[in-house]
Amino acid sequence: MLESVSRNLQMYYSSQKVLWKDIATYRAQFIVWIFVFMLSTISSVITITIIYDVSSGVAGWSYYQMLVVSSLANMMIGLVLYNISPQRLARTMRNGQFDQRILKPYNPVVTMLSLYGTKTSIGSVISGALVFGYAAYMTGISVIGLFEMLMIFALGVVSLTMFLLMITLLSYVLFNSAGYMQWVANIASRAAQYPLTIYGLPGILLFTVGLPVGLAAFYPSALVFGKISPISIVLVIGIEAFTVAVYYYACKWLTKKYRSGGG
Amino acid sequence: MKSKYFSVFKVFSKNLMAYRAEIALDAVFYMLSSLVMVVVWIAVYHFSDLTSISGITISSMTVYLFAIGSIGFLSWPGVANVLESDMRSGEIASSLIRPIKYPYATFVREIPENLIFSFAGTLPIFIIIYIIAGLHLTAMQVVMLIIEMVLAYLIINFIGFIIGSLAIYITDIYGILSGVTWAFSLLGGGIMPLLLYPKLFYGILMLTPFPFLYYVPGGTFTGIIPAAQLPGLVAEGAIWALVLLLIAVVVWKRVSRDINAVGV
Repeated sequence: MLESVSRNLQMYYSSQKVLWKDIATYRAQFIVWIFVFMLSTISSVITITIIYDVSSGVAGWSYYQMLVVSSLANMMIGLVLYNISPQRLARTMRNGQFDQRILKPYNPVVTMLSLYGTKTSIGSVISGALVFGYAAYMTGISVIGLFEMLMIFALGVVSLTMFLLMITLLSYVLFNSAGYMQWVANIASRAAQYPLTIYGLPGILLFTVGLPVGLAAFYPSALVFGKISPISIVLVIGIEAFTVAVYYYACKWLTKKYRSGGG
Repeated sequence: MKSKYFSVFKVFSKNLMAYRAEIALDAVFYMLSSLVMVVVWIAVYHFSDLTSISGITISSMTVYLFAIGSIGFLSWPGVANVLESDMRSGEIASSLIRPIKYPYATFVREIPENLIFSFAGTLPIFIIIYIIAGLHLTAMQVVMLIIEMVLAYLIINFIGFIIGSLAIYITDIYGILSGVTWAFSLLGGGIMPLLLYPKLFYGILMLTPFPFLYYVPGGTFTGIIPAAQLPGLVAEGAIWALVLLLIAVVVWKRVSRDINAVGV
């Protein structure tokens, strides 16, 4: 078991090294793409700044608290897309290139996460981290609070990554098409920028268990700003762990159902 | 002469009609994306207990956000894709020797997509919003809106043509294209009406081509932009389209000299 995990992690690490070397060949393009991904964070900051400039903002959330939620959401989507691009995965499944990858003796889920991400989405992570650092400083989040936040955030990112991979595979298995799942990622990213409370109870439920975008951005922020009790957060961690396991096994099952798109 | 371009138009229209379901799906996703921002703004209006912000009421804001969501169908400069793909595959070499002017052909190939997306995506959404929101547009506003949409198409695609032409020098233009579409969204009212931006910034942006993709058509449709300002804005949009056309012609003349292809 441990040997298998270690072998798969090594494969993930080696793939990243190769992909980054490839990116380094086209430095100018890479910089352009990094900047493009940073624009999503800039756009969020501008939107929130204008909202708080022209109004009292969102009930129960100060300007800097909103920036924390929004920057976590940008980091989240950057990390998710770093590992899985539905468009890219769907394309390789359609043109048959996917077959030769999953025939290799590695975990198919790790293989997909290693090879079919958008590496330049790291721009969103970097810009999100910068805004997060500034907003966290302005709100006075403690070191312990920060640690708790990042723990819940990390689990939430894994949960959303596995969810996106699962629905991409499901869509391909059912309809032989999955590129439009990129849209789901875009909407998820937009919805996660704001506290889930603005969407009402149906929205809270939807973005917690249906399309789990709130797990990584909203709940960690709500915990450190005292909007939810520590007991509730135990439930959130439970949901995160449970969904990661369910989505992982669903991905493995769906990979077995996958039929080659030819070549 | 005309029939040659029409034949190209017909072939690409037929090809696109095979993807009707995707257009419908895109429309749903554009609206869902707008819905998120509508919910956010409703929360902001309610919490602030305001009936209007910078003169924009909650219903105008809702209509505006849905309207610009549907304009998203026309926001990608598809002409750039045509140029980039032809240059990458070498198809450009054979295209240039055909008895048809290549720059025109790129537009003729791209127009079906925009027309079909407009009729199947943007127009139905506009009509639905118009009925549900109980809007009242005068004939002049409707005419202006149609002209603005044509200008928006020309402006974004002339920019696309300029960037697409650069594909001969740079291997991947998608990063630049994505940056441009983001810029149009951010600086052109694709996120919220430009009226909410600081006044100085608003004034500067209104002198650029950015507002012509989202803010001007969206503002005309919702009535955020007073009818009296529309002819002036249309004239400004036409000037921008002309300036960008001239730049595109100059760039193409320079680029077409550098195109060398070896057939196999």
